[in-house]
Amino acid sequence: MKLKEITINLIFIALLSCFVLSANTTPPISSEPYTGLYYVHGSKVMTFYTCPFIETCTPDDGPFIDTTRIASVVAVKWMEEKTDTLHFFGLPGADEGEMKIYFGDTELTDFVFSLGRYDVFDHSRVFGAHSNNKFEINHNNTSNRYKGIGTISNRNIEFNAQRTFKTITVEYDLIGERIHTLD
Amino acid sequence: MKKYCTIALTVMIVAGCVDSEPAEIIERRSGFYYLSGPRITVEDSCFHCAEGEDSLRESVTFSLFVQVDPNSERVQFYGLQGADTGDLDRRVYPDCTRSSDCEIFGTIQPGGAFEIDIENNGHRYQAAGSIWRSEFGPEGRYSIELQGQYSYEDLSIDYDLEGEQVSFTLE
Repeated sequence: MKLKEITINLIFIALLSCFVLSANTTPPISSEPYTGLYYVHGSKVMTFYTCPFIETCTPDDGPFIDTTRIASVVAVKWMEEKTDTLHFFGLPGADEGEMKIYFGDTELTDFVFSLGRYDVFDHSRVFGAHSNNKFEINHNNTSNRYKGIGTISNRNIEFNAQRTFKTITVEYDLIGERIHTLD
Repeated sequence: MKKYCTIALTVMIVAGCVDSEPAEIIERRSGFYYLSGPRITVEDSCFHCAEGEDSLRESVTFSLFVQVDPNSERVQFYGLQGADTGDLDRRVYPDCTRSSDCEIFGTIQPGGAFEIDIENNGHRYQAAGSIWRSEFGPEGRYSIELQGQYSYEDLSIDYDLEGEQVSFTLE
């Protein structure tokens, strides 16, 4: 009888251990405003010439227009230590995009930074000024320019952005919902 | 004899709810990754390809959020190009506008090797990869590699990606 009680107690302790282990690994919910993942979708319109400088272009060099509909996941972090600032990660045209060779020799890049080691370079981080659910991004380096304006709430995000580089202009019109909070 | 059986039974129950790696370590694989690498598109009528070629080679860079379930082999990916994100006609869920309609799950082993195999109306994405503790960058950071393929009818897109975990916040 005593052995049976010990057995039941041990099984109870084992099951309790399982419960505690499971509970400890549940990610906490963020209470920070705007912070989280947003699934966005919309249009991406690339206007480009097949010549490197607009001054040297001929009518045969364009403009060409390539329109696609895209989806992406953008992470947003509200900066607790600087509450008028939002940090963006995975923003199409800014730190996310593609580089391709068109028509055999024209190189087209639709984003500002291409860095394998993201954390090494502070200037690769994309920040936006934020006030009253509106935000504005100006993200530049020596030859690229990314400008965007939008609105954000704890549920939705909507923004229009333009990225320019030499004779390439890419315009993004994206809208989406927050799908995940972050710890 | 009964005593030994009791101990053995308890050990088996506890072992059943604990992975071979501590849950904390498995959970550290979750987080943001910054991926880059070549994307090779092969299709019968390739508009952007050079004359006489049927493949287009591009370089892509994108963010990926990985969420590993420490209590099972399940792993979820948010922002996986060719699966839930990317160009409309080049992903498994072309019409997806809500993430809950295009959730991407895979299986991951305790050692970090993972696999993805999803299909939707003829659109298919298969991938194999690994997440492991990085030798570079900040201590405790993880690296990822992923070889994936999206396919639909006569179109196939191969990805060969690698990247590192990103803190995403100022340090």
